[in-house]
Amino acid sequence: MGMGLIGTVVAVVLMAVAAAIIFVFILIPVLKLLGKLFGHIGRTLVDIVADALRFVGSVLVIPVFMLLTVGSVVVGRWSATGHYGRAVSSEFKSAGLNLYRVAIGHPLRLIGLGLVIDGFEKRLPEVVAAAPGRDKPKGRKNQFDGYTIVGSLAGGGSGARLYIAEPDDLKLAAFERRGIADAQQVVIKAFHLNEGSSLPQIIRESRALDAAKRLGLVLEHDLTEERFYYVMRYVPGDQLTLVAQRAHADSGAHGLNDKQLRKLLGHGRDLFSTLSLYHSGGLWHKDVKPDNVVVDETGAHLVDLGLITPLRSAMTLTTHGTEYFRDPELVRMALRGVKVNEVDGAKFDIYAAAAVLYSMIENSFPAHGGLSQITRRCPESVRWIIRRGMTEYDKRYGSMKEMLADLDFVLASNDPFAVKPAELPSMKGGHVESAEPVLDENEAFLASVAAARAAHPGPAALHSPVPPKPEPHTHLGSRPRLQVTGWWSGKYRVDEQGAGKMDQMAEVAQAVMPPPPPARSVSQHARARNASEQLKSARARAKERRTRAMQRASAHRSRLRGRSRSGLNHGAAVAVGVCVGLVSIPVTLALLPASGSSTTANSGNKASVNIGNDAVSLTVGDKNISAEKTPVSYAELYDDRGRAVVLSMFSPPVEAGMKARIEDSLEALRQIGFEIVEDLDVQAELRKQRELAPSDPKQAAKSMWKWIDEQDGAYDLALVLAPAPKNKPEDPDKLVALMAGEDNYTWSIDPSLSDIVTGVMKSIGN
Amino acid sequence: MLTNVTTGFIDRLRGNDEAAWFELWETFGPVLRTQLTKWGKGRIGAETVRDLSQETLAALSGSIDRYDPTRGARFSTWLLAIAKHVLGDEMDKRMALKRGSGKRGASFEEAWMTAAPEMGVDEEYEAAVFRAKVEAALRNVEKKADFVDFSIYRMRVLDGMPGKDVAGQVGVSEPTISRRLTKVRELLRVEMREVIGKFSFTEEELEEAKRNGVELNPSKADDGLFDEAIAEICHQQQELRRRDEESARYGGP
Repeated sequence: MGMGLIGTVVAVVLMAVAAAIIFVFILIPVLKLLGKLFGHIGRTLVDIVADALRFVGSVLVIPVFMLLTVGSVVVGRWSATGHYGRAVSSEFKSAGLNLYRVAIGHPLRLIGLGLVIDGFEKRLPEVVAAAPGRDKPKGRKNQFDGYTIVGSLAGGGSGARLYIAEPDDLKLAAFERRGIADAQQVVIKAFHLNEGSSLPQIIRESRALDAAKRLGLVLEHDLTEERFYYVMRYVPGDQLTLVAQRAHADSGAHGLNDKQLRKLLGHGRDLFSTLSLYHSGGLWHKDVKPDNVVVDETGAHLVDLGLITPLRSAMTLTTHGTEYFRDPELVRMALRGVKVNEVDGAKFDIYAAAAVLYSMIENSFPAHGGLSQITRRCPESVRWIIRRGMTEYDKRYGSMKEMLADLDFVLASNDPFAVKPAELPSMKGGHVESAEPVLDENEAFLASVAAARAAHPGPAALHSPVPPKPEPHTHLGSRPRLQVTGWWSGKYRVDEQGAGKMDQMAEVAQAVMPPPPPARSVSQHARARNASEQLKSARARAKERRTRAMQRASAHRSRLRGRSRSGLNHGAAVAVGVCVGLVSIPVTLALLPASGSSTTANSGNKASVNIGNDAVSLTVGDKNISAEKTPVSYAELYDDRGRAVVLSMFSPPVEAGMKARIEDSLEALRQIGFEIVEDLDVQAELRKQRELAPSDPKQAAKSMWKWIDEQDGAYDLALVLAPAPKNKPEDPDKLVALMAGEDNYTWSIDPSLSDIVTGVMKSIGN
Repeated sequence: MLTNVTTGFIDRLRGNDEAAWFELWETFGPVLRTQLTKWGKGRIGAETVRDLSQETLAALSGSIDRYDPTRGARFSTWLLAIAKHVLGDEMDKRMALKRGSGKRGASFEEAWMTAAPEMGVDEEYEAAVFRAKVEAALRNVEKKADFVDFSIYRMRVLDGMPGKDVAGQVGVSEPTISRRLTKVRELLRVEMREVIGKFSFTEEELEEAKRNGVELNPSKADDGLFDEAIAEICHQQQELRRRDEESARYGGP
């Protein structure tokens, strides 16, 4: 009996324990699993229903937008047409995406096949977006004389189109006469005002071009009324990103094997060497990243000259570049308004080059900046190089040569893993002189370029848009040393070796530098005081403008964004084509000519850039605006010019041609950096001023000049576009433009666009 | 209670000091983007997430003048509430645009100013904010410490290399390694006090270092634990940034 009871109790306890175990280890996980499963199914169903409803919503709203598009076409509201057209396009995309999700995406995710469609949803759009554009430019007039287009490349962020081309025999002969041999294929980078490029982009690129010409990277450039292009050698290779991915695929998950490591370090060496050459030439590449390094059988070549900046430029730092390969310190400095020549831009390239080395080793990007950890197989000495390159601005390598010397040391060893950081040249005190005299660098640079051009160029020189690798320096120059011989008297003597070096530098200076300016006379010094006062005043004005510019920066940017989408896009064109075709073909036919004149605000803006050896100028129509400007000061032309009050004195209805001219003038002002003030009160004040002024254009412009002066710097330009007086009532309407700035005033009767731009520049003292 | 550091930083933000805004963006941008991506649940793309995280800071700049420190909001809650508002506003705008319903955007009721447990701040987010603060402190140390000293700290603590190996690699003795480690560790503690003070609004937030195993007023015995915690935090932060960038590149978390 007792035993039976004990047995029962034990059995119950065991069963309870078993039940608890089953509950804890089986039931709870199963329930959790079921919960997750039902949750997953529930969420997916909700998503399906939501997307289905969105699809229905899009389908319902599309016809409404199409009707609005057609209506806008009929009443001639072209801006609204573009707006509604974009909305139709957006709705079509949205509907398609929702349909795809409902029919394919969600069901596949429901059954756990989400990874299958990742390729379609993530990689496919990325690859499509990165695909090259048209293989050939549209229309005969857009071809390039002397070149046959054979392909295209994906454009970058500069708004340019990139074509691969083959020069004809005449071009090849011309290249050979200039010492450029075997340029069988070239890349043409073309900016077209009517194909999405803007003047600021062209200006930025032209600055880079001027610098690139000094490096011998640009073979030829040309301009027409509406486009600007330049020609570079073609490097038929793969981007470093792809090469690194392949190397990692070949090596395994833990990192690069010895063979691939050495190969990629070699590419890194090529990059460092090229950058060293850039810096020697006084240039900062500014956009070093794996995608801008092309690898072929001869090595790695740095491409994309779009952001090249002279190290001694007086421009303010900008934040251009690519995140993760751009030193955050650069952004901080740019925000503080630091000038390029106040920092060592080469150090930012050093950061980027180290980040590229990191990306090769890790097959990833340095998401943590200088703190990014290297988790894959990598020699400690290479880690050190990367870290020293990516550390704080004032602690990183002093020059690219120093970094290159360290990497060379690693590559020269039989086993890179055996090299300790302590053994690197930069750590042993036998480091390369970081503060190298620029003249010696120029000498080395010029010698290397000259040697490359004079001799039969090697394969690297033939296919690369970068100059050949520099020969190792046999000497690294140092500044002449002064030895003080008497502290009390201040006597000193120049070190002999240094003096010899000084002579050598002087010779090079004569060869590469412009002659020094003549010594100033006493009277010139006296005038300098006036100049400094002027400078002080100019700085005060600039500061005031900067303050105003900061206050309106956000609105200005949004306007720029809006402008970049101006005009009819593809979706709108399709929508208009379909709807108008269905509704009213005759109406469409009747309106086609109007469409041509009003949708292309740039069509009348015949601006082009002329880049000479020493100067860059802007040609608008048949007028040359700034022939005397250097590229840097030319770029300054396009800085924030201030606020312009524009007033049209034409009474509605304004004739279409005149309306287009007024709009073109506004667009031109925006293009050259003005913010158009849209305050009706201010315009009313200006109108009153104009109405009170005499009808004579000169007096009227002078009156506006006074008005601008009375505004205490609130506005920088007044532009009044009014009907010109008629001699006879039947005379056609003419335009008179009155322009007044802080410095000057002018007027022009029946001006072309270029006359207006020229007058505006004159008015503001340019 | 706000520290002087905090109020100084808030003053800089109020003064529209761009460097201060960049610091805020650099430190907490990845955390905000991760949170927005999580909330967006695939409805918003990577580009939108980036825009929204910037708009969050823009909204913050608009509300900074109305910030009342006496109402007890945590710094992390403050950031998150504004991010949530910005996201909600974006969603409302989209719905209004899509349907033409004329639904107005979300109103900004400044609920973020009060301690609001209903905001749904999860532990993961709080931990991410703390990690971001530690990362910011490490960056400051990198700026201030000698390069070799900081490299020694990285090799020993963040990479987990034995002290003997570090000494061999850098070419100094082990006692030197130990001295330099101590130097950097102390600097890091100072910087962490500074950064946590700067980005904390409440007493409770000021104490979060200790809760996360990072003792800022330690005994010698705490050094090992401190280093371990820092290494762990760094690895997690690295992973967060990696996911953030992948999300930006491939359009999903």
